[in-house]
Amino acid sequence: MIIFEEVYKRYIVDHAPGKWVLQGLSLAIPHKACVAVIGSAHSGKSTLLRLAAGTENPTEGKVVRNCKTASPASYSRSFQPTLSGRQNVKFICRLNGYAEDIDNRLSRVEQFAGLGKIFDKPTGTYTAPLRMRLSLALSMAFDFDIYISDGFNFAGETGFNDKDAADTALKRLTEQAGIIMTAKGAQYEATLKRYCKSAIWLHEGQAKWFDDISEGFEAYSACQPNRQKNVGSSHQAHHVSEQMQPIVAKIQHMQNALSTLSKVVSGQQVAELEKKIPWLVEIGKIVGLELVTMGQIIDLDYRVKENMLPVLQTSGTENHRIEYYDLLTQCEKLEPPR
Amino acid sequence: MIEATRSSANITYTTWKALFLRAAVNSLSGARTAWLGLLAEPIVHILIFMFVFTTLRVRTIGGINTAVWIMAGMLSFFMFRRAAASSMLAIEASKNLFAYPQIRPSDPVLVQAVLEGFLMVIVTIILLVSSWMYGLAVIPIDPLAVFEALFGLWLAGLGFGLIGSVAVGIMPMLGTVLNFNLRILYFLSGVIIPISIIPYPYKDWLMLNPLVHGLEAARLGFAPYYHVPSGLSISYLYGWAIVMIFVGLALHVRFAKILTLPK
Repeated sequence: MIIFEEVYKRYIVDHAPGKWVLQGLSLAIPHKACVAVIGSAHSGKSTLLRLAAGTENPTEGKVVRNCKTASPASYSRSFQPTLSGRQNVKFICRLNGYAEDIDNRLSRVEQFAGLGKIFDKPTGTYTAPLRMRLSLALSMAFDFDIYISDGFNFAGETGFNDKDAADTALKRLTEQAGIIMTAKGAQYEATLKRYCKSAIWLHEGQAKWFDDISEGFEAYSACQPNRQKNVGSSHQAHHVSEQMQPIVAKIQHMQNALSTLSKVVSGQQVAELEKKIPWLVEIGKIVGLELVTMGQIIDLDYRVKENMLPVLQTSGTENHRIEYYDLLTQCEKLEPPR
Repeated sequence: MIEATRSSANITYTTWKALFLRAAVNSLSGARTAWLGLLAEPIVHILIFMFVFTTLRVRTIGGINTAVWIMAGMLSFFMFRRAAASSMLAIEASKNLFAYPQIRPSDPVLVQAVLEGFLMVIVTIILLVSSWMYGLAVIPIDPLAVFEALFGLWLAGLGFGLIGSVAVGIMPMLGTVLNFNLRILYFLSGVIIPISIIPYPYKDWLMLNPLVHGLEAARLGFAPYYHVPSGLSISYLYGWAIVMIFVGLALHVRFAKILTLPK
């Protein structure tokens, strides 16, 4: 059971307290519950998950966690880059009190992650998907009541050869323990509905619990009248300031291109694609994605549509414009794909 | 439900053990010749000043062989400085570990200080044994007194590190200032300048520095006939160390929330 009592949270931004992310949130998450956390961009989904995992402390209020949680995100953050995967795994085993059982756990991690010789190389040399794979394997090797998954796209990003294996593992996990998860990617709603029964809807710093996940999504959609509409429609254009209009139009153009790309390109072509379309890498950098697999193109499309465009359209500031300017010079060469 | 509770003592013990092993592996095998640096730094310092004093034809200081005087002082000072300097930066270096709720900000500091003390004991033994084989009279006549002095210096280093780590955690700029202070202490603690040759009243001022007491006590342990400056008191060093440790721990309790904030 994880209990949030009147939790307030804000971060220090530029040496000063930022705006409140959570405002007086009270919530109880029973153990063995499979919960999806939904909400618009910047509504505090990740913050809620970090508080639930105990990774961060609330600014005000209390989070009581009387259960064991597993969160791959915090494992992957704590890897010491100079130490090998094996050494890092050993450290985390010892830290979690599995010192006696270390060989057994180690072999389980090694088997699940399937890194081969790379397991003995420093984690600093790992690519992002490899690191994710290792942290996923780590969390599977421990006993826990609640598994916390922050935007973790099982099939797409971990690069497991056998995507079904990862899916089965997660499905089995939801039968034995609870899970709190957010998801991303084009099919995030389907992903969440696949693994979760209930939902927490985060809105204006407060949380609302829905026993049935579909009800949660209905409430969420009802609150966002524009969500289903095409962001490129002229209906929304009046929100955008005049200076921003060409930029937004171009990014919309890029996003449309991405949507097409995500339908026609298969996994093997991603590397070639990067050479052909230089802005693909650039835009990836801005939204924080390293393009390796097919799943990430879908993800990129989603992030541009759900995060980048709304920010630009509603609160586009000078900084944003500067940030995207370089990107746009790249886009001049943009050609719509086949 | 899985048994969610381990006892607090058990959690603390496993946390310290895990952190210690990780820090040890990292500092010994992090870089290709990381272990060499541990040995080389005190050796180079000792050799340089032995060369200087030999050139000046200083055969004895305070009644003992110059080489023994330098070695005893240098190794004692390094016991303090290594513990202080690296534990001071331990929080910054392990920011990512605070994602685990069982790791408190004081844990990496304590562990780093213990690790440095442990490594320094090994370095000290290696250096003393090798110079003994070389024919120097470096085997302490009163080993317990040497141990007492070294332990006091290590405690002082831990206290300095605990306070310093909070300061650096709140204001990273202070790391530079504190490091500079450690360099000044090198000259004010009688490592290379014998305190007994300093005239009155400046000598009394220097004796306010607790490290002087630790260093001179260590030399006295090596040779009981060493002329120590008047007013030498090992309990003065211990007093300082304990006060610093408690102030440091209190600061850690007070600022725990700020120190665990991610970078």
